Amino acid sequence: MSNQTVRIINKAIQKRDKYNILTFDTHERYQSQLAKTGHNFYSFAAQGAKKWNEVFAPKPSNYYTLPENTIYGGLDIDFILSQSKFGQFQAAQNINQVLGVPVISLEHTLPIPSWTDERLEEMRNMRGDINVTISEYSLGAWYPFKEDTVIHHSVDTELFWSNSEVEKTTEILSVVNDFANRDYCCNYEGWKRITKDLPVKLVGDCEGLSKAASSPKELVKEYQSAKIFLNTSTISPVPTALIEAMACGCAVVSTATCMIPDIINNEINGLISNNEDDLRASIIRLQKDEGLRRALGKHAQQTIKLKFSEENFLTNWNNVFDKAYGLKK
Amino acid sequence: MKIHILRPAENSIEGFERVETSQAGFDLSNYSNNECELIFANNILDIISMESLNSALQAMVSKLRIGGSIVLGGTDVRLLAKSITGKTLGPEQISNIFSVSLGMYDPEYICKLLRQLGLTIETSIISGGMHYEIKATRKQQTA
Repeated sequence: MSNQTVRIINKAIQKRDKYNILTFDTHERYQSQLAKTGHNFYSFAAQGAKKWNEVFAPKPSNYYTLPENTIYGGLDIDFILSQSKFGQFQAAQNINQVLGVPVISLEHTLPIPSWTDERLEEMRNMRGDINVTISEYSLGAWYPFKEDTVIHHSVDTELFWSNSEVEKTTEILSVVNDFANRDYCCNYEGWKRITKDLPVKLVGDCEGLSKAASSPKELVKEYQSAKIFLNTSTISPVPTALIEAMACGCAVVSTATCMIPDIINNEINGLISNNEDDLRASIIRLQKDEGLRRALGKHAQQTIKLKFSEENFLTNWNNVFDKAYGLKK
Repeated sequence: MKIHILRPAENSIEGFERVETSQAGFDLSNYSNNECELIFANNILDIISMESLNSALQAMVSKLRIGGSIVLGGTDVRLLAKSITGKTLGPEQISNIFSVSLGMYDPEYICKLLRQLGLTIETSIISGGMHYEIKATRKQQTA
């Protein structure tokens, strides 16, 4: 083995207990989970960009927001974590002209079906030094021929849990932000048809339609008090609300799109279909069958603990961070 | 715990304890000794006078826990002197710099003082123009 190889390997296995990570405010609950790695997260605050919303999750104590449009070299940033190709990746590239550190590119969303081939290719070419997707489905959609890292979400099961003491309501719960405006991926029109004349409760920030829960605890109460949860998304790799509802023991009815068929085994831990009539029939069936509701809810909780564990999530991210640090010059 | 010591007009890093400094100095008495992970003061040395420099550095270093770091910065007096003698700065710019400064130091001198206070210098860099930043860490003392 040459000295050069040894040096590369030594560099590659270098680790630090705490990394200084430059990132961007993106998904509050996802980033709250990420902050449990214990590293220092510094959020770059570009003018007009999304800001952390404490209604969705309180800011973790190791998550710091820099003054607007400011980067401090003295913070000794180890690498940049971009969480979107829709603005953040470009910002990360610009910032990196100053910092010169590795870039991890994480993408939460899927390519938009209306994109031309040229546009898709342009977006695909936005690649970091390390690339991460949130599901195998997402990887297939973005980079079918690459072996990028896939890290599944995790759910904080100490916050999202089933509480049998909470009184259950008959309303069918759906939790979606900006539902009406995101019909193309959340399928608001389909939701209206499926739930026509049924008792429903919508939670989520959507002007004129619904309000977001005032805090994560209030959101948990919504899930805990719902017997049935309905997800109608058509383009969402792993709908966060769906897995949170499962963690809270809801009987879930969902479209069978993206990664959902890998999470929900029909008739075991939920009811799935891509036929609106079937989805409506499933809701009506669950309204009448408490035994089935309980069984689906119990298995749903087990699925979340098994497939979306915090432990796996944190280990996988720490591995990515160690790898990124190894790439730092 | 992390502290950002800065000038009154500056915005601090959210999540850090904000401590403002002025020509009268700064007050760290609210913070216990040996508990601070990072003191970030990358732009304050120019408003600390020579007379107060030692006590200011001591006050900051006393708050650092083992493994804790301090980042200090200011205008490099050597580079400023070169800019004045080389006439790359005009009289107005020179006047502006001196009008707000109580002190201006050679980074080597600051490094020496930090070493005397038991810190290990991690980096000392010119971070842009005439501005320098020094990062020093309180390491575990070995027998």
